[in-house]
Amino acid sequence: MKILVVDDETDVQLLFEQRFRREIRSGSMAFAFANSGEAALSYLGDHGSEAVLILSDINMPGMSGLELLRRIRSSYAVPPPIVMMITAYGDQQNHDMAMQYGADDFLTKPLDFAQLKDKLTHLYPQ
Amino acid sequence: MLFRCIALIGLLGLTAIDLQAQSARVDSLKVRLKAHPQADTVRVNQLIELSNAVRVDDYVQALQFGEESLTLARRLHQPEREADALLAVGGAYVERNDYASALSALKRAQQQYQQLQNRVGTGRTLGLLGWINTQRGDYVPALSAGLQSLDIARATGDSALIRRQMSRLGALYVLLGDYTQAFTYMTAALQLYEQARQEVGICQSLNGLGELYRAEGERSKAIRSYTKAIRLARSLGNSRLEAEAQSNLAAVQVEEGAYGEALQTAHEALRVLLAKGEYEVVAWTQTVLARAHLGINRPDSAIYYGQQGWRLSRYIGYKEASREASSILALAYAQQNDFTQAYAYQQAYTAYNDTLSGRQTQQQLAVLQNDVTTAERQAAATLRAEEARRQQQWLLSALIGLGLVGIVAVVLWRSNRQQQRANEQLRQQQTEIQAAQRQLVQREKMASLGELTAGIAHEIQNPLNFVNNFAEVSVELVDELNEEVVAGHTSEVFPLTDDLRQNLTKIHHHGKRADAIVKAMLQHSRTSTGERLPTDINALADEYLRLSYHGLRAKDKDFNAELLTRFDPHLTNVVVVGQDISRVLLNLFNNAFYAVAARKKRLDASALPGESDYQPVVSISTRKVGGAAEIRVRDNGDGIPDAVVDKIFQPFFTTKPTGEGTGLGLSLSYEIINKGHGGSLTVATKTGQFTEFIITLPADGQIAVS
Repeated sequence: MKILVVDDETDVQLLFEQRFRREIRSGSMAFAFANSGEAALSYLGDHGSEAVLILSDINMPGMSGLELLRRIRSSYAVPPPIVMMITAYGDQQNHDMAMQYGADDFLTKPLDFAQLKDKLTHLYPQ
Repeated sequence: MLFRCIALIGLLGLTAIDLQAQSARVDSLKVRLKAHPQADTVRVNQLIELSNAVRVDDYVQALQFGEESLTLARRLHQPEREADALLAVGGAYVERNDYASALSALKRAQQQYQQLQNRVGTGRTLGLLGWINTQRGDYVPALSAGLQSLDIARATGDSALIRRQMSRLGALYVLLGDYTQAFTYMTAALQLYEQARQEVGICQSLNGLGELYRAEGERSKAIRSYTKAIRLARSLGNSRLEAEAQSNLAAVQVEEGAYGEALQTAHEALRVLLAKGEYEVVAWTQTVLARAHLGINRPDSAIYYGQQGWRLSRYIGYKEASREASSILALAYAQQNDFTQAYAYQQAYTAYNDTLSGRQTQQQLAVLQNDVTTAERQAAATLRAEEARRQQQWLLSALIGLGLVGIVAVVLWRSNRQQQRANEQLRQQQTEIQAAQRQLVQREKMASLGELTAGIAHEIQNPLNFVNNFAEVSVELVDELNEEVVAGHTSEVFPLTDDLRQNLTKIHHHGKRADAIVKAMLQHSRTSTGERLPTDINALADEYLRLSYHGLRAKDKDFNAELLTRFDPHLTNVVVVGQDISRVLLNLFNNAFYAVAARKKRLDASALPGESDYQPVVSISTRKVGGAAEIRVRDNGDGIPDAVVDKIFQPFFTTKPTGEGTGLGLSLSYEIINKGHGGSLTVATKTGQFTEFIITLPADGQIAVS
């Protein structure tokens, strides 16, 4: 399963690589990283529907996570990737907006990786 | 020892008859006035009579009737009636405690009567002028006018005026401390009122006698006089006179140490006096209440009533009450250990003492001189009966001249005093404005702090996310490390410890990041210490750019902007007041984001949502120019129109809707950069394209190159 993580915080890459150390080693999961909405779109443009799951931060300079979600939903229709939104503002308005734009899940920072792993392996199995 | 004027307000009425008869008379006068709408002499006379009749109970109506009679008399070219009308208007102003207007009306009345050689009118006007000066504490002109008035009253056989002047002069002598003279006049007045069966006058004379006894320290006699006055007033149904005597009674009760009774009496009196609008006696009664509270060790209440008496007496210019109030307030504040206030009131008390008592000595001399003149005049009159009249006339005109000079002096002195008062007011206003400005500055700080809060929440969650997760994953790594060691896979140990080291470094890094954000927030709300320290301008600018951006994002989910940073690495050690500079940066960033958000909204409104190709950009760049540091904050918003670009640094100028901006952000920034750091804050803008603020911080040794 190829997962694209979008966040303007560069240390996110390090964190994910450690958190999913075993999964990466065993080859059950692979990660790609983009640190802006624009970079994520260009990655998706280059790699087609390679990434089946996208984890995106909402608050990023430039294109926001929600805008990215909106564009993914309008441009990459088939097959639709799973998109999970992550935000530091766990408020209702962000949540509703994300759901309205077609997000599959909504997570808040600080990220609970145990929960995330559980969701990835059980809710969205390959 | 307290001195005060007795309120002889009722004495100003031309006839003092009992109250019911008075109100019946007012009613019939009003009926007659209605029946006679023709604008002629009859109406003028009716109006004047009505004004005089209602004056004591309703100075508003008295003023209306007086003014109407004045206009009418002028139109009819009747100088005699005009003078009567002026006298009535002056009397009404006295009732309103508006001494300036009263003086001006009465002065005109006096001139008019003198031109007409109307001695009765002149005498009455002088009597009233003398009374005003007594009330105001200007005792020399008071005595001069009062004696002249009495002379004229005797010469013209104006018995009503004789009674009134006796009573007024008695009160004045009490204030001057000449109790022998006071007693002579008071008892004479009482006798005359008794002969004329004028009970209001009797009542007032009793009250005046009470004041005399009180001033002499004869408390039991004073209480007897007041009690008689109160009983008489009650039987006349005249609550005003009753309250006046009660307020005096309360003052003796305070002197006797009967504070409880004093409080009760004074409160009873105060209720009536407030309703009747008798402000002099109200002010006096408030000081009595304050004095009583002081007696029972309640400095709080003493201050409360003392302040009321102080303000009111100052407002109406009643110096005796101001002196009493300042004395009480000085004592009360001292009891509360508030020595600053106590000292200020003690100063005021001393000043009032100088004005009233310092002059008093002078006035006693004047009294003596006047007595000598009177005695001489009387001797001359008996010796040369034939010449007396001529000489008296000469003396009279000389006295009138003297009176005029006195009045001119009073007017000059008063205008000087008014000037001083105006200056005082200006100073006070200035202090108030400064206080208001300080508040606004604080509000501006708090407002920008509010904008920060949301940004802070976001900015803190991010580092915390890393701290928590790197810590957790490190525990996993340690477990794994243990397993590898137990299994003897030594080659796996170093990659794991490398990861651990890296994680710990990250935890430290993000912990420091959160720490810096919290510190920044605290610093922002705190008053500037003004301490200049080497500061990493680039880090500061970056931090506040993010805080500002996330602050706006928290409020407006749809908003986004591209953030461009271009930092000169040589500017990591600029000596500035970091707190102040961060305030400036935050303010400039907030403005920049506000501008691009506004433009985006405007364009979106005219195009389909998300269709306009406008991309908001806010950029920050730093540069070392010679020794100076230059910081530029630029946005591609709508720019600032030429018409207002000169005003943006002015305090309170804002283009934001009411309630959104304080109008202080840029003016504060300007102050901080130009005055605080000796630098410059300038703006470059083009309507419809961009706005760029340029901060330059000077070289002069403040910049330490890293």
